Amino acid sequence: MTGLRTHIPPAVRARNPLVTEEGWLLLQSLVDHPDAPEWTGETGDRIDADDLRALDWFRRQLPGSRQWSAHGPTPTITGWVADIIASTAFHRSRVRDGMNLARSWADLPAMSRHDLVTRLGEIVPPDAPLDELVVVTTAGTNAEPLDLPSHPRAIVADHPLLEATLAEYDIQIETGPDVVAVANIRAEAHPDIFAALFSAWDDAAMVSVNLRPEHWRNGIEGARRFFADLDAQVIMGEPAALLEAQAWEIDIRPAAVVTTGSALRSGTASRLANHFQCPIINWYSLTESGPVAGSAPDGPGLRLLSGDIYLEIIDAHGHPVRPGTFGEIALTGGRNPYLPLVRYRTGDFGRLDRVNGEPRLLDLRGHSPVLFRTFDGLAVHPSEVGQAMRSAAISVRHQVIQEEDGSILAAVEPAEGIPVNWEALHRSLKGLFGDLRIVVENDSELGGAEPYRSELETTDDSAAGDLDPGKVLVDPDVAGEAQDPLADDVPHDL
Amino acid sequence: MTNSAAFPPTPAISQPQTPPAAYDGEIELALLIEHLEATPPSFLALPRRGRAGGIHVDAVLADVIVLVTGQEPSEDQLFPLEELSSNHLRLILISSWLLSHPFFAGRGDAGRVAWFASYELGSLAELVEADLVTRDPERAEELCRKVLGGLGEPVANETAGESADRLIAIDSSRRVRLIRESQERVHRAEQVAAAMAAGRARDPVARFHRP
Repeated sequence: MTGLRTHIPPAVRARNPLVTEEGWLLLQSLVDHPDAPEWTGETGDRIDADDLRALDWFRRQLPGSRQWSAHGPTPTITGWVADIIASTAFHRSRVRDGMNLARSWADLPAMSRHDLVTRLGEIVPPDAPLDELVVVTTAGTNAEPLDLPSHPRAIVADHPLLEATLAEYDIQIETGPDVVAVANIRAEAHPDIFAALFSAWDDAAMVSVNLRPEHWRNGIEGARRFFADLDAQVIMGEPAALLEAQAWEIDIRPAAVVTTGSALRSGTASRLANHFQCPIINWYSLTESGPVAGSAPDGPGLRLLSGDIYLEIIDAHGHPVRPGTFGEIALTGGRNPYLPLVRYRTGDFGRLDRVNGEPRLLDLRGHSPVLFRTFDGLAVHPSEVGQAMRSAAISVRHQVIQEEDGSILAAVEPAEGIPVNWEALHRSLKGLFGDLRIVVENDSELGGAEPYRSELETTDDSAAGDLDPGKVLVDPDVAGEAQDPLADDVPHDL
Repeated sequence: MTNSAAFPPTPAISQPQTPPAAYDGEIELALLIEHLEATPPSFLALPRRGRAGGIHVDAVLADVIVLVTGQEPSEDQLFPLEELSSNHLRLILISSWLLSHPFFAGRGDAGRVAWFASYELGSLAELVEADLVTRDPERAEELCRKVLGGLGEPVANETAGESADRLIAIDSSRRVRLIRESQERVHRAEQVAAAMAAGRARDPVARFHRP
């Protein structure tokens, strides 16, 4: 007799239909850990037995699914697209009758994020039951965060994809209700902080934590102890957040570190490898599609993870470029039943070429890894800066630069005919950064300028500029003068 | 006892001996529409259904088949009319008048006429009130084009593609389908929006990374 006499609350079972008593105890031990973070919410996987069976099928077919041709999509993909065109109003309205997909692939119109915003009701297939719909949100780094429909079964597909990626490095993830499989590290002002169980991994746990001292019961010291006790097998996070973990001196030895969310520069990878002493793996993944490609130990570039997503590089007109040519990444397929993607323009750029006889995504230019700092040295994610900018001004584009002394320079290219409320913009940024010198200005020639940049610390190939967490950037008394919206360095149109 | 006295007599369609030479080739649509606009009241009257008095549509249809094919229809070329809606029967009557135009004499076969009267006019009857085809210019054009198409006859001074495009543009079933699809799209968008709102209200699903 194990002596287990727990009572799993109905709310927990609703979030985790297959939760076991052992899993529930593990979750409780994490939530109640004396050095735990300040949890912001509760969550679960919503996976039932049917979902697990479907997941098992997905896992088994994964190794054989990777097929790619330089000449176009596989018959599996074109067959899937034909079904989607026949069943969804959005795609049907954009394709001429009788179009031969294999021969005329380049004529198939590319879809964009704008379509997801404006025509979601037509994109969701009419026969997809909506009762299991869950909402996922894009990061919102370069555009307004976007709520999208997804399904627990689509989300849990991440598990076998991570298993397959780790297997490339001879790493097998341990499962069961006595291990923490993944710790997701973030460095933001307003993150979700939670612990959860995964039925897909026999009730192994995960945590999502944030590296700001006020988000921990016992500050940075407590965070270090928590991570030591956690013994997570895999650490995940954006490169900038993982560098923050290095700055916090979180001294752990996971089996692997997997970076997501932004491009991983070689210098950052080296720094992380030195700190964590394990393989540093980069994943290319979108909220819209789930994971698409991941790095492999046998050569450069990112290996395509699964045949259910067709990745192509296209030019500005939507035409596929020659192998090895740089262009925009477009995705077709996917495992989200509510979001069938057909030549979806990702806004990310790279090139596709053969490495060791198979296609690899090379020179990926996704979002640059940038981390901003408040006046007292706390982390601010670019998506939060973007949201602060957009909350105060409708603009064509913007650029925010944090200079070496911590000053924030925010440039806005206003939308035609829509005045910018400069004071509101200044106030919004001040609310995020605190007492730093903040300059907002009108710049009608921003063009293709990178939207976010920080001179404080680099996360690229240079190792210079390490910053102690919590280091005060600017004397608040001095900063208090500089942030006056009517000071000389604020544009005259204020 | 019938009350047929209250209704106009069933119109008779007489068969011309030979088609006029003017209609040896193709017919201009305007001429056919003009003929339709001149539909006599007896072809617009209420049809007989069961024992309720009115025009004997079966007799009119048999007459028009004789006119169009030059032969008496066999029993298997006729189809039962008892179950048809009043609107469908009225469209058969009006179309019979249209087919009585000398142009059609000797041009069709009984199978085509029967198929047209049964299926094509059956579909149209679900969407268009019979009165409209003589009052509304676009519906009149639609019926004329469908009658010609039903008998495999081209429209004078139009290519096949032009005729097809024009019929698509005015086709009632297409118009209704577009309206229905539009309504379905709006309904589906509302369903998706409601499901998204419900999804936002629930706890998020755990994922171990942020894409």
